[in-house]
Amino acid sequence: MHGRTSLTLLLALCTATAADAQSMASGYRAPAQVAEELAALVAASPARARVPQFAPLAAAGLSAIELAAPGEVEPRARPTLLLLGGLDGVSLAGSEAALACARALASDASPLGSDVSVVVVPCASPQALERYLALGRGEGGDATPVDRDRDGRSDEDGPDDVDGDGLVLSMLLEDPAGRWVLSDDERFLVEARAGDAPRLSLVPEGRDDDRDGAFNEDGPGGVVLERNFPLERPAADPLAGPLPLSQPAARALADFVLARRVFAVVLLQGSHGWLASPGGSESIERWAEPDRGLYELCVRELRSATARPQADVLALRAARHGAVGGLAQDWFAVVGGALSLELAPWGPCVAEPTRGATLDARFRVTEGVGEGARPPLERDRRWTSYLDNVTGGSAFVAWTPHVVDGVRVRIGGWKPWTIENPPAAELPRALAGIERFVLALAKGAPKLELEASATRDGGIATLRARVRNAGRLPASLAASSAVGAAASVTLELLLEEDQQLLAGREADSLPRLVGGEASAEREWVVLAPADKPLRLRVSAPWCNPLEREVRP
Amino acid sequence: MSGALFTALAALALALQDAPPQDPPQTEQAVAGREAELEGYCSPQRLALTLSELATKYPDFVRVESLGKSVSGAEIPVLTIARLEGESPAERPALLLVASVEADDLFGTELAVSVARSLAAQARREESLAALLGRVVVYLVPCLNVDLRSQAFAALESGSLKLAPRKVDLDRNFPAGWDPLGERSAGPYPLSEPEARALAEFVVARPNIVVCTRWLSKQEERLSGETWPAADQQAHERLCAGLGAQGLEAISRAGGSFLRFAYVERGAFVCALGFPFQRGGPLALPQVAELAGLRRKALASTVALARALPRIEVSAPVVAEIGPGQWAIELELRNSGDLPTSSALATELAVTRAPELEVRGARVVAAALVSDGEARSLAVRGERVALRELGAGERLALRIFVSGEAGAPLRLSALSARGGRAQADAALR
Repeated sequence: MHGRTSLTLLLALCTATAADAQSMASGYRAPAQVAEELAALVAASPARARVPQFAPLAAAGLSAIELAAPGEVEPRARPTLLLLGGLDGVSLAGSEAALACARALASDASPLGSDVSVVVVPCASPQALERYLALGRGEGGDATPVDRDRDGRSDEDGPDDVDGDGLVLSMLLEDPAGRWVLSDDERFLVEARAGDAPRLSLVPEGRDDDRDGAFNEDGPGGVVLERNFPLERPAADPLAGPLPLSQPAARALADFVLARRVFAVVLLQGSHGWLASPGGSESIERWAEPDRGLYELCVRELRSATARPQADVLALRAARHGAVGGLAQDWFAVVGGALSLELAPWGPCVAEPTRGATLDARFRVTEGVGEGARPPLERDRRWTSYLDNVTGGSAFVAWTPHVVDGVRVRIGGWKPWTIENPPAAELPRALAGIERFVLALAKGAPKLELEASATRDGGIATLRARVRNAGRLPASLAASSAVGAAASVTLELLLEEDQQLLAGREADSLPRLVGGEASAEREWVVLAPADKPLRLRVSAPWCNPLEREVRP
Repeated sequence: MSGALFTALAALALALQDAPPQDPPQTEQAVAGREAELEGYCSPQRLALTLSELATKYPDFVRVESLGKSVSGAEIPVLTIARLEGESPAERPALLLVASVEADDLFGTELAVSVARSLAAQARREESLAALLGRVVVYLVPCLNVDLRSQAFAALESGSLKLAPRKVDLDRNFPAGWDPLGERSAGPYPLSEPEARALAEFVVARPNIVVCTRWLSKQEERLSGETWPAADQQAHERLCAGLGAQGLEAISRAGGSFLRFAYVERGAFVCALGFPFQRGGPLALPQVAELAGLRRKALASTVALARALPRIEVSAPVVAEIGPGQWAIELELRNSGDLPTSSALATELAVTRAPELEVRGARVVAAALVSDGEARSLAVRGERVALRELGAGERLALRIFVSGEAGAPLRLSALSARGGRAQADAALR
């Protein structure tokens, strides 16, 4: 089966043209089609699916669906799992994964409990995803015009198909100040060191449309929504936006997390193939350390649901092979106080999970590769098995010399639908098990239970209670949240006017409860008339509050 | 009379500082002081009327617009003070003054209104000031925290000082150094407060803002703290020394403050001016009698800051024919201001467009910067020559090579986002 898939893909890629590139994407839906599918799901499953009651989402152009089984508590008051597809503006596979989850959860067969809600935004950066789908490439920017080269004009120097092969690929320019040199596998670049030559700059294929001496430095595409969040945001990077949460869609998502009891956010995007915990920067990775056990639990769930061979917790900067600031995932955790995860549907571990002896189709050293060239970086080497053995090396267009605007360049690089998003035919493999993982998270939502008993001696009642978290997930993050939501569980005795507390605390802060854990017993002594019950209330950041009457 | 006002406002200021709300004693003195209080301090309604009157009375120098809306939906006014005819104010170097952000600088509104009125009135009378307002622009936000003022006056009117403390500190809600873990009042995200967002968006939309200023009731203790680019430290020292103000040291421990945002994210020079006054209580506001002196200081510092803004000038071009239909033009660009056309940080952040020389009337073939007898070529983009930023008082000698018909008129325009625009005419002969 696997061999047949590989052969089919190999043949397809060997004859790739622009039209082929489009057809490679034909299994992906445009944001408008996704919106239609969501509307159809709502119409087909009115008892389980609805449009979330949060106007800023729609006002910001985001189509969303809320999935919740009928129950006593209205969905918007329940612990909520937020599922975002393609917030990076690149990962159409993430959108498809989110949509697949929505479909599965809307089905009558879905085992989603009545005490939790799942809100899905499959195309969280619709403008960027639409552009990516049309072109087969993109940096994830929305439609906001951005003057990246600060020349007073926006989007005036974008990529072009210079060599007329129907593909807009990459371009290498010899540049003494260039950051790169070719590795000994010329498909990959490595960072230049002192003495390396020739140094290269890597830009998209295209002409110097604005005649400023720089190639394609100000193309279409504006702010990357997932990088428009406040923490560690690089102020000088135009792709991060002029101000934090300057983009209405990013702000709507932030406000949603603040307004609802969001216990988890799963961002379906990326091409590393793993589940990443918060930590686009070292400081945020350190901040997340107290919750390591929780992230390990999530990794185990991922392995079980998807068979992906992830061994350990992976912080975002490790998954992405470099620090990134201003990330949505980090803000959802640090400020939103949610379990915040990035799951990349596509990646080397998915593309080619296991294979025997390799058929090496590597491009060998050609002209322009300096003496003593180094091997590719580990992150690139991870792809080589898939690229060599599944695509037969055909996903790469060899660097070809050209002269563009009087400058000697080499044009080539990866074809669309290889690394950032899989060919549509590979989507089922990329999406396999993701809905099981999401469902496991939703079903594992923390759930408070109150075990209480009371005795009476005349007018004096003695009340004892303990709180249990019957869910799999803890009642909150262990790392301190920045928005004032108490990290602990609060247990309150709700006294009537004619009830008087003689001993014990009216409101007690219990330690955070992990899944299945019960608190130590608390005791109150109350002077109370015999005809009235005593009332207890327990609450935690991620849980439905619970009230219970106890009669001595 | 003013003593009663002083007492009332002092109590009010205390209430604004999260003190437990309490009803003040309703003394006859406090009630009688209310009328006098309204004379000295603008209620929100009176502020709106006053600004409207200013714009009506001085349409050639004052424009009033809305910066945005507050949490309660009240309009936040912003004034553009400049000679409004001719070149767009957006193309001139700008000074931004932001007043009344917190309870502590509530008095800034009174100073701002006074500065606006004085600048407009004096510009009508004094040509030098009119000329200054012809080449720079002063943006003035007289009352950023309009809700605070409304609450304050409502409390005075009702005789109650029960004020709901604001959960988010506006001056901790800006992006640079925003610290949600260390500062609980920083807000759930930077610019979560509409007033802060409106001000930040205003600054981002106006790359011509060179200096941002606040008037404070006290100055922070000077800290050696953070390290900023040396050129910017020196520029701030020059800017602030004569005014007794603080520059970069004012933002050293002010994570999430407006001035920190203005410098760290937008590369604007910053200036925190202290206005010491007699204090009757721990957080008292200036008495009405004191305001006159503070107004004079506010006006003088505003004019001084406006005069310090960078100013691009172009010398008369010298044209020489170097071949058939080809010409060399020599000219000098100068920044005659006391500040560079960009801070080092702004250049590093690339928040503004670099200066350019636009040539109309001939085709630019090449250009060079002449320094120490050596000519180095400059990038040419169509009819524009790319230049670098100019330091305070710096001159650039330029040589432009063009093709054109003999006798053709030529216009050379120097354009700088923060240094303004200057032009010179010549002919190819």
